[in-house]
Amino acid sequence: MSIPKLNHYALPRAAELAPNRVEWQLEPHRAALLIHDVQHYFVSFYGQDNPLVTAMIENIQRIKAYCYEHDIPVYYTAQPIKQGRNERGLLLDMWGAGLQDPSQQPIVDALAPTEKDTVLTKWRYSAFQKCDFESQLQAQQRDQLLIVGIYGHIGVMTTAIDAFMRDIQPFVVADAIADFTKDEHMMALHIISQRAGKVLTTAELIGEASTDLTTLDGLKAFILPLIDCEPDEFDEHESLIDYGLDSVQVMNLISLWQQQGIETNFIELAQVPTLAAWVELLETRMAE
Amino acid sequence: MALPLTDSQHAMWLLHTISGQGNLFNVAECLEFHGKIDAALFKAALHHVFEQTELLRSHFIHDDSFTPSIIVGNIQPSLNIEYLDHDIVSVAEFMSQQVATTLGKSFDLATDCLMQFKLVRTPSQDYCFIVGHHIVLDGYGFGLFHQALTRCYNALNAGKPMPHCQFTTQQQLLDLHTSDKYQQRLSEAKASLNQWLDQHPPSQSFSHSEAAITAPNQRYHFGLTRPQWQTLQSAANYVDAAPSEILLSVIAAVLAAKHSTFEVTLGLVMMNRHCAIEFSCPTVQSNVLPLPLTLPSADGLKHVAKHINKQIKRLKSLQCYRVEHLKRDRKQQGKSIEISGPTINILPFTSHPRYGEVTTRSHILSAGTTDDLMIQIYLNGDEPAQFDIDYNHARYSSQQISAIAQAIVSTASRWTRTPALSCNAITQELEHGV
Repeated sequence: MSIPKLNHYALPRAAELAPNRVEWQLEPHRAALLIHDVQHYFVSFYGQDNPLVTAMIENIQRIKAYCYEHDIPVYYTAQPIKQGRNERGLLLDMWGAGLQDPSQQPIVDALAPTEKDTVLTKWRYSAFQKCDFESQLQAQQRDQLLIVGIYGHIGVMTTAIDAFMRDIQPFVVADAIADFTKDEHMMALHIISQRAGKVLTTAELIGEASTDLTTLDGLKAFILPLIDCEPDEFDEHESLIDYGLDSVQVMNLISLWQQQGIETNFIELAQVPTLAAWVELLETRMAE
Repeated sequence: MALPLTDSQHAMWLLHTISGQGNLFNVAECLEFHGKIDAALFKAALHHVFEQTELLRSHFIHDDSFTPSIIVGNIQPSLNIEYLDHDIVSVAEFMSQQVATTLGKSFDLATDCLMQFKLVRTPSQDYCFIVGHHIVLDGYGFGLFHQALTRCYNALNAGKPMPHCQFTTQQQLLDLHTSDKYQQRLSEAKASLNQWLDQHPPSQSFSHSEAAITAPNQRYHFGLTRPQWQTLQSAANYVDAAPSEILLSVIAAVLAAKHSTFEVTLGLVMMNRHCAIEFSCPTVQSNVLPLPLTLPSADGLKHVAKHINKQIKRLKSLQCYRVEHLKRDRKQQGKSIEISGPTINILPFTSHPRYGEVTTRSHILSAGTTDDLMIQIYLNGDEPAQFDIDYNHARYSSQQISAIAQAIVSTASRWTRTPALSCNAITQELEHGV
């Protein structure tokens, strides 16, 4: 009845996300960050050194640093240990007794709260339930809530929907949450972006430029490490096959372009195997 | 005009001629249309592609001393049409029935059109079965052919003239392959491959049997689940490798466990195309070369995948040297001609071209014949990888093949969940049936 043993999966890329229905813009003076349930107990189900958890924590660290820089208050939720039936309510039927071991209760070391942060006691899926979180946000005149942490389709999604119903704009960071499975992760993001909030990536939030795989420079940055070639030794008019690019790597590029709505195929790329020709082909496709 | 054959065509011609079982060298695909197409336009497009592609219209004749040559004919492909009054419930079952009736026939290389087409029309969907001889098409060649066919159909459908298909001619291929530069590359590849094999213990596959092939390969299909594939993709990111390198690491580990050795040799199907002339010819060009591996037993998935990446990079520069020539070299030196274990064919060429508004899906029904076993790995981006094991029934029982498939899936799942596990730990678990 407990939480199952969880595996890792790759965090979603920007191109995998459905377009948002709303055009809200995050404004630092209106925003607060919620780091949701990243306690040893919940993280432990992923096992030690889980690549998914490592990647999520790195992104949350960058987001938290951004929030500090922009005077965005940081909140945490953490569930208490040894809740009785009255406190735990129906969660007992669904998940069993839950957190018992005091050593499993704290937030993970890499994200440990500082005295600037506020740690809320978490009682139900939504961080707003049985808690004065809404009042705290109102007191700070915050009506936008950035949400990161675990688990995506349970507490994160429910808190986002609850925020939406309280007229607080939820912003869920797609690559700073983790879930039971990739499918559940994507389902949660889809429901939020289509029904109750805005979904964005860490890079988008903190204003990092992402690699544009349709430009010569973006493609060079992507391909050169694959073929172990230094930028000053590379000529975009030379055959990529001679540089050692193989069919599997080309197909990977094709699927990344496909996520941006650009249809190409291996055969047409192979017949003109230079980067310059590919950029030309992509420009034609995008103009069609 | 009669022209000589390329090395790859010659090897295929010899296999066909000597074996007396030409049907073993048929390749087949089914193009599944998700709707109805215009059969007249399809037929016209097909004829146009043949008119423009002399290599598809070729015949392979030989003189009294059994020296083959290629002549370009004027033959047009026939499109047989079969109507069904019901839709197909199980596409897989339907395809296997169709394959059984079409793959069993041997082409006459000297007289037949070496591609056959059958359009099966159901009330809601069409299917095109294509059977060709490997001598005129390999996996890449099929892709090239499909692309030309789609373009021609779509041009006709839009009321435009059909495009010119710029395919390589036999003469252009021969000029390339007889050039000094190409010959130099061949002789370097010959020396390197022989030296490479000398430094490696003899190869072993999953069976000790050396039984020859007497009947078409049997096929066993399996796949990874979505969560397994998503974890594999994540592990690939984590260890900075391609998903295909992770799968090769897994198969190598399963083979290593079978023989209690970390020195294993896989056979790898290589595209063997380097320049525009080769990338624009449908004819057989692919090659199967040994990929000798010395798995770093104390290391985890990252280093095993890295070793595989390094060895494939080495092999890429040697892929022009034909496997048949390499076997001949080994025989002349008194060494084993069993130069690789199981053959791996990675098929990343997923594309779903549209015929007008109708989307398609291509099913590879037969990619050639192996006398041992060949693992076809279909990569399809974020969709889980699928596998077919084609095997020589004289060497393997279906139970053995099913056990190999299970070992591949469980090892892929286990190792990608915990990439830090050493190769040694993984093979130990396999040996003890964990």
